[in-house]
Amino acid sequence: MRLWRIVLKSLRQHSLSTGFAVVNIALGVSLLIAVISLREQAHENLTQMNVGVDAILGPKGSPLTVVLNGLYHMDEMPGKIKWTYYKKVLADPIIQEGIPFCSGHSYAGFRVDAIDRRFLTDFEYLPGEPGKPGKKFSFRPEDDGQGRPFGAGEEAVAGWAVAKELGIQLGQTFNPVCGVSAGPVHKNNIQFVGIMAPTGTPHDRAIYIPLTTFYTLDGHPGATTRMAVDEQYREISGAFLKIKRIRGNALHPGIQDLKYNINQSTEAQLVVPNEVLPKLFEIIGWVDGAFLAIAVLVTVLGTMCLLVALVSALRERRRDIALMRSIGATKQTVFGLVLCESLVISLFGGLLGLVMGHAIVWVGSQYIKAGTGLLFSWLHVSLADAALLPALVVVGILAGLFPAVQAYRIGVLKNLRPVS
Amino acid sequence: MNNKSPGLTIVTVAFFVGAVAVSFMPGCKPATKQDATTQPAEKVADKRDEAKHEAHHGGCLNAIETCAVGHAEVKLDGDVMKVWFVGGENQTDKAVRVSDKQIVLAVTPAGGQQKTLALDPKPNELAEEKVGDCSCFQGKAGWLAGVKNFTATGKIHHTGKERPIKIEYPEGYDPD
Amino acid sequence: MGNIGLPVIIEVKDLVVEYDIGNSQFTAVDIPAWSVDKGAQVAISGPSGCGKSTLLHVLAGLLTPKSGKVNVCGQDLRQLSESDLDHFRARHIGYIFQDFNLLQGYTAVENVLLGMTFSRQKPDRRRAQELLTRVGLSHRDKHRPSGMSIGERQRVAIARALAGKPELILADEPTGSLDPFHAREVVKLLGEACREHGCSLVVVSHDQGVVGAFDSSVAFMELNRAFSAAPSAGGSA
Repeated sequence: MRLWRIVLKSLRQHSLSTGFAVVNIALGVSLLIAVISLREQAHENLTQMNVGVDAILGPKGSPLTVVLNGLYHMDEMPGKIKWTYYKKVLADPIIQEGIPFCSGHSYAGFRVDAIDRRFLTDFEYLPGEPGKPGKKFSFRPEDDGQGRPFGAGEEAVAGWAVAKELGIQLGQTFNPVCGVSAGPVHKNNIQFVGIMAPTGTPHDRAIYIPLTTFYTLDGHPGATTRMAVDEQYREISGAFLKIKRIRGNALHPGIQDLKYNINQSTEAQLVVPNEVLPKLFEIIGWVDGAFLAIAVLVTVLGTMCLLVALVSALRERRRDIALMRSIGATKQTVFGLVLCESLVISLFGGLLGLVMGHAIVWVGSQYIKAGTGLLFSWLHVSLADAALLPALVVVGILAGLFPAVQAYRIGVLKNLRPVS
Repeated sequence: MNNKSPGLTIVTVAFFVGAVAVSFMPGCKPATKQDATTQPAEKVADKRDEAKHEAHHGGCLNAIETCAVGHAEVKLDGDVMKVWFVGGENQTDKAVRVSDKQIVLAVTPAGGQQKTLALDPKPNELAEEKVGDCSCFQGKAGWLAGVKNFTATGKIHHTGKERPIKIEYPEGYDPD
Repeated sequence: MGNIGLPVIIEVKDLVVEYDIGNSQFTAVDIPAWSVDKGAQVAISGPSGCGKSTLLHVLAGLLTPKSGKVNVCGQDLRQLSESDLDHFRARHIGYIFQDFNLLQGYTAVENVLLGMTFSRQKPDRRRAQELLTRVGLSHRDKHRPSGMSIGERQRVAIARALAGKPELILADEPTGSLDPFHAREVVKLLGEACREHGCSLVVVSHDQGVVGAFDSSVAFMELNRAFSAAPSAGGSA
């Protein structure tokens, strides 16, 4: 009878405590896998994906708010900037392109942003490599899009996630609400003329109307309406800026001087999303750390449970182990058997936890996608996945060491005394 | 569980520590994989975030009298010298405007003769600066090309007072 | 026993085994000299508590004597480390206990296979089945000990003891739990099986009927000076 069969048989004999230990370990591992995977993907989504925007020209206030509102359609812009100031910035030699926008409206829980038409036709939401074009928004049916970009007037396009959730059809009309939740309704009956193909970016989660339409929405005061035609009075929420590249596709180094210069003014600020978003993680780092600590604690508790289960099982098996010793098993053999049991439980628990963890990520990703438009993949292989196997081996050894030593020390004759 | 030996305590503590250590192993904070295109921004931003006396433009900082009063950030670019007047302490990202219409520096290159360099204002239009209310100055001279080390002195009208400035390039000047 | 010219499988000289009882020491075994020839089948008789089992434990390497020489299967047991004694027992000894000591969670054939595993042999299911057939239990190979009679369990124990192809079988009161009929059957089976497999056999029993079934026997009271010196002393055997 092979030694591994003896190990499995022993585990089956104590199936209840074995199962309990496996489940405990699985719970801890699944939490660790889920927390770390979501954490990594959140970090990646929010820091690596600049969604094609090198910098945002926004009003004075929290740089983080500017990024969250401008890129992720969250929160509210802390103010407005003058169109004339935007044009002055646009004249800087390192600026390649500017896409102005106005935010502050919503429809059925989704943001309605007024934006320059070039955003839909020329803007690369996913920049390409040198010599290779980037990705622009598509309305083609083969890309899962519909219709066309808006023209002028009361037309709109919907992001893919918005259209799916609200069941938007081309030709359908809507009336935007002034404000991000509740507020006066602009009775303009704006018509959807296009649905953007999915991009996997937060751009999927907004409705877009022409910039000038923003100013002329029904109910806006005359001063706002005037902005549609008079650039001297016009104000915008902000502008996406593309910076010129130098060799190796690096951002023009003049961006730092430009940022310094703009940030000295009282009019606006220049925010580079890739600099600001890591700070978000510093701010919420403690929450992230708390979740990780909880996951670690559950794993440690699971390991303790394994230790207790093995020690308890050993108490019932003293006679069996003494018997094995009497028929030729060495001390090292019984030590190894107990240690192997611990390793097997740890590995089973770990594998189950791996599956459960990815299932949790799948569930979580649905909620995250619904809430933010960000795509999280349940197949993402995180550091936790990579480190899982060696970690399980260590846990199995650590938990099994004490009971294995106890088994090693079991006295043969003392434990073989007749039971009756 | 019988606990008749200190070995149990040692093993339990070691296991606990080991399990915690192992569990933390995959949780190391992922390195921020910054886009290569934003490398300079990240580098400078990190420096600023760490606060202490970082030169935003890549020059060297020279305290104006003391660190608390303000700094002059000086950068040599070929035959052009640029000077930005910025805040004191760790407020080196805040421009400080001076009322001078021109600043004259007595510059002594290392191993060379003292020379005079006039710095003219370069107003930041994006911050609506103008001559006489300007934080950035620039001077050009053929003899600056190739200069790696120098000291310089001058006077400016800074925060309502006339103050001497002393520049030690490229180390910077910090009397504190 | 100890015939000149025949190889010896057990040789004991000045063997002393003591137990600690409180602050004093109790001498359980004190044998000046004793030997068993290879291939012999010997019964050791004596009342309960006279040290018979203690002697078997020493011969199996389960107990270390205080002093004396113990040579079993050509090995000086006192020179072996604890680990070496485990290996020695695995390769050379088959042990049969009074209460069988089968692993409850294992079937009959698995118990026999265990005997092979720990004796460093390749587990051979076919041979295990053959051994069970030899002891008359081919129809019970998949049954666990709890589902067997006492006599059947003892036969499984015999098959397990033989599984490791030992040189020496030590049987400690192998019929202690059996009725006279089954006791005779087991003794007969044990003797035949050992002869067939070329094992020497030492049986310890207080049952004169068992002892009488063997050609060669020795009264432990005559062998053990400690018992004859203190017949009223208790001790574990």
